[in-house]
Amino acid sequence: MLKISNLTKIYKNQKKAVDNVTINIEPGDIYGFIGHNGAGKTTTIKCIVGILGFEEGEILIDEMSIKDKPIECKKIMAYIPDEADVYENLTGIQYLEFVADIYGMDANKKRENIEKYSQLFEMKENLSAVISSYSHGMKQKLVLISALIHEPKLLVLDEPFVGLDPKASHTLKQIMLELCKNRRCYFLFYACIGSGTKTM
Amino acid sequence: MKNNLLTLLKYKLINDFKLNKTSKNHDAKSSGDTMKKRLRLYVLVGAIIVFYVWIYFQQFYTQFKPLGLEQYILPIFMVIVSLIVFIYSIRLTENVLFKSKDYEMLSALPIQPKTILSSKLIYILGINYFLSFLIMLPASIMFVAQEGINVTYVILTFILTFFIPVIPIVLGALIAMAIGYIATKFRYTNLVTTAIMIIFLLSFIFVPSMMPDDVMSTVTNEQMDSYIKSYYPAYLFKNALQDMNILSSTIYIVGNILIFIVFVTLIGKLYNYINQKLKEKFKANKFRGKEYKSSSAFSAMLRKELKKVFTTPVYLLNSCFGLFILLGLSIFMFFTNDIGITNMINQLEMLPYRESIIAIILIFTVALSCTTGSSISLEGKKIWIYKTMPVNVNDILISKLSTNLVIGLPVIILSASLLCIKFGFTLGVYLLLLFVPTMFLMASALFGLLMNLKYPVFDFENEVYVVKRSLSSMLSVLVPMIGNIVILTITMLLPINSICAFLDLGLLI
Repeated sequence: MLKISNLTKIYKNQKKAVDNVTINIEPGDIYGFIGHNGAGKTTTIKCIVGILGFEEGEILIDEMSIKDKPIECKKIMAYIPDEADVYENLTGIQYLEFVADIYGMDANKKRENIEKYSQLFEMKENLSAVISSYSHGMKQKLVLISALIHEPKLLVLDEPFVGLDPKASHTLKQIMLELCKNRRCYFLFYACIGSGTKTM
Repeated sequence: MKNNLLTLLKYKLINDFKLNKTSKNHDAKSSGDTMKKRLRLYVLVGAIIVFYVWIYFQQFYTQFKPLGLEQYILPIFMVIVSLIVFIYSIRLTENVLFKSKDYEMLSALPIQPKTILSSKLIYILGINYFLSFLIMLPASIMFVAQEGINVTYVILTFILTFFIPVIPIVLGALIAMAIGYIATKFRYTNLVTTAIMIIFLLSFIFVPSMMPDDVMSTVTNEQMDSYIKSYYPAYLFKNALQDMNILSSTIYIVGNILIFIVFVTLIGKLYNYINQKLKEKFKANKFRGKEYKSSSAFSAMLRKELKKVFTTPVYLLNSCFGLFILLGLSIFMFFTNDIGITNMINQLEMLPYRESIIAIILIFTVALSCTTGSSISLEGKKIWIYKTMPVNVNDILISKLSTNLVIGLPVIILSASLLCIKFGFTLGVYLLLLFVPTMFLMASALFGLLMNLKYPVFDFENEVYVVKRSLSSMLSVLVPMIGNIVILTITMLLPINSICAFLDLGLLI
């Protein structure tokens, strides 16, 4: 499970970006993280996935602290940023292989999952193209596939529905529900009302 | 770790060198053409460097051989390479290690920070090898050809050259990190970074020129040893080559490897902290309203362009480096009398020679300053903003041209004034020294803009690539510089030995 206790993130000029946040997410949960612009949602998410450090509080993923065991924590989770900032000059398949290799996936599982999710998101035919030629939605789909292929226990999604076409949005929701059904996986995501959150 | 390191390196190379675009069907023709042009430029730059290596080697050899100091020639080249790599690495490491676009993506993946750091350092090493080998290999071949030593000497130089960039890169990275760390303590991080870098580079250029001029006149073997010992790796390098000394070679190689490992281990611990701190922004105080003023679209664009230059350290330093040197040199010469270049100019008895030297300094430094060579590329993915704005394309281009002028003109005026007062030039010469460099400034800005329009790059990983390594930015500095050398050569060949010939010819071209 994901356990955030009294998380406080302080910026350079001593202003608090995140102030005393406490969240518990159990396996099988889909947790919507909603707030006004600039409330600190993305900052919180970046603290969870280990991109940003924090001054106070604790973040535990499967009983492991992201501060003490960052690699172990990252191995069981995946992060999808609000902007799909990836290596633009790789092809789609190269990027997926890169992520799969970093997570140490074996060749069979890699092939199986890349096939499965690229078909689900209708990206299979585009995987040989260079990412810089992708549309925003296609990049978003590619990042989603890269997050799903290594079968993470925790998925942290930052505005996951932005840029996705209605069919892909629906597919993502189905995948999320499917993964949560057997308490295999749990999610934390933040989105704006109207971009998919309501239907979740 | 090893596997992740190889994976990172493999995909970073494919991405950064755009290997997919050159090897596969993708936009094959246009990107292939650009690649060929870039390759031709690299060959041209390589040929120029080798030519200069040959000139310098000849000069060193003719001076050192009679004194029995020829064994110091390659160590001197090694020191020169180290200095270049060091200066280049400060900015390169700053952008590759601490301001890289892929930091967030990589730090969310289960990779050890020291693995990420190692991959980036190896990448930086690889880039620096191009320069190191381009200087050291021809120099060692020339040395072997002159001295009649066997080929083992070249092979040993080749092996030792692999380690030349290690220490300069580590030092450069440490300085970049210190600058980054100091900058995190301030609100305007980029401005502070730029200011520290400028102060550092100028002091690096001018402090050695304050040394007494007669250092080289009475040099002996022992003195050369003591000079070269001030950079100990150069001393080991010299000993390793002099008698094919195994011990010195081993200390040199093992020492470099150890320094690299210690650096990666120590900095690996701080890598995330520094990056995280650099990414933090000051949370703005509540906006309490302001007094609004209307201004024209042109001035709005000009303000935006100036802000871009002054808040992007790598852009400011690269595109205005010549202006910083000019300003530093003018102030230095104004306040000094009998040291360095001031002493040299003072010793020129005839006024026209002094005027010519000053004109050459002004024009060469101005020609090195071109903000427009990468100003369109730097719009990157934000180019849509300009493309959708209701303004004429010419206004956008003129605002970019004007940026170069707004930055360069005050420097030219101040420098020309200081130098004319110092050396007592006439009003006519003063006006000429103002007018001609300004024309050169405008011409180089126009040329840079044309090059950037012809060869824009919008999908870049970080701004260093656009500013330092893109085709347009290289051409916008190289071509005016080569043009100046041509003008200067023609002027020197002409029977009229005056500043006017140089300036008139420059204006004409």
